[in-house]
Amino acid sequence: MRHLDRLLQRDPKLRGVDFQRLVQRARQDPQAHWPELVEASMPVVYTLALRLADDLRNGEAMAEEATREVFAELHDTDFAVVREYIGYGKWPSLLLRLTQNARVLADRRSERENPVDAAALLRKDNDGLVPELEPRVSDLIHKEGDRFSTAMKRVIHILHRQDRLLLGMRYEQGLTLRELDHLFRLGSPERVQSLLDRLVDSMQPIRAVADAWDLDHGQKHAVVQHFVKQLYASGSMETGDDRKVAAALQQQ
Amino acid sequence: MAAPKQWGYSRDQPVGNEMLVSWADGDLIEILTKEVVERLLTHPEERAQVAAFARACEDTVDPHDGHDRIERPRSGLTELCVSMAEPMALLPGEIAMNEGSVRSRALTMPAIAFGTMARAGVVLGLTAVVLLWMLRNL
Repeated sequence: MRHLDRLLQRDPKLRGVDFQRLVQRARQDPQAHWPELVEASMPVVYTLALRLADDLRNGEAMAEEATREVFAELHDTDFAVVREYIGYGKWPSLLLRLTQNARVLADRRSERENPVDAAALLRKDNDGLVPELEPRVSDLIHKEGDRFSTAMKRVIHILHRQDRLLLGMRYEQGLTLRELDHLFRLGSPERVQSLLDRLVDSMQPIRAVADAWDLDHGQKHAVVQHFVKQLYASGSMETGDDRKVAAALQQQ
Repeated sequence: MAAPKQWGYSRDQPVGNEMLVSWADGDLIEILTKEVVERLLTHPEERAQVAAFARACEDTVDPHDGHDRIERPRSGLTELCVSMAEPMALLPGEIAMNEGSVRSRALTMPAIAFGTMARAGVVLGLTAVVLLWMLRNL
């Protein structure tokens, strides 16, 4: 979104548009301010759609269709989306959310989330995807039994919530380093990678078995991915610290 | 640390907003971040939504055709979207058909049927007259 902000600042016409005020006016009377809202939002939606549909065949036609769909949704059920807009978020962010959810771009979205050709994604992002867990290591984890998995889960559990979210976004949702950099604002993809490396290296159970199991760099990450996925799947990533504190307070 | 009862805290609300602010040393952004992160750690659907949004952000950074700028759509698209909010223009007959109540539709349907039959009757009658005139002249 920072990139979009820069583009908006550079655009001679949209530079002067105050989106927040425009939407606040539109919330009061959507029918009257609809042409103004469309005029200001149309280039943003079209640009976003064009970029999201870049790889598709008939990209421009798809982008136009997605744009039409977004404005149909904004207009639908008596401007419900405009009327319910809280106003603290950024309007272009909402436009991006609506655009990415457009039906014509759904295929592209699912393709991006479940890549068929992971190597192409890797080339494009210049990003090391987490490798699969080798069967050898998987057997070793299985043989090690509950003690190792409990230790791993505990060590992930006591990390700071920001770090746990980072691990979740990387290993559960499969975001690339550049996407993580966008989300957590760490500066550069390399810094995200070094933070992940440090997190993985700081996990005591991994360090304990790394030599004995002959784990290389990629397999360390694969082991962490294995346990992070398990933890998120069982839903036990919520901290519960505050709930414990609140319960203790209530008992007092 | 339990909040004193004389400050208005109860078992239902053991931690007040002021205490939350003092916990974060007055940093409201930190409070917000904490709430958001806790929420994301708890709800899988919201994690997935945030991940999808991050992907879309990243995808929209790439310039289209090498032009890194806000693109303008063809003018027709803007007009099409502006016209969505305008009430639809209908022909008089369609207004009677689409906007009327069930009762008025019940009245208009026989009227239209009768009109069609009357027109057909006139055409057939004229044809018959012409044919008869031709037969008479043979």
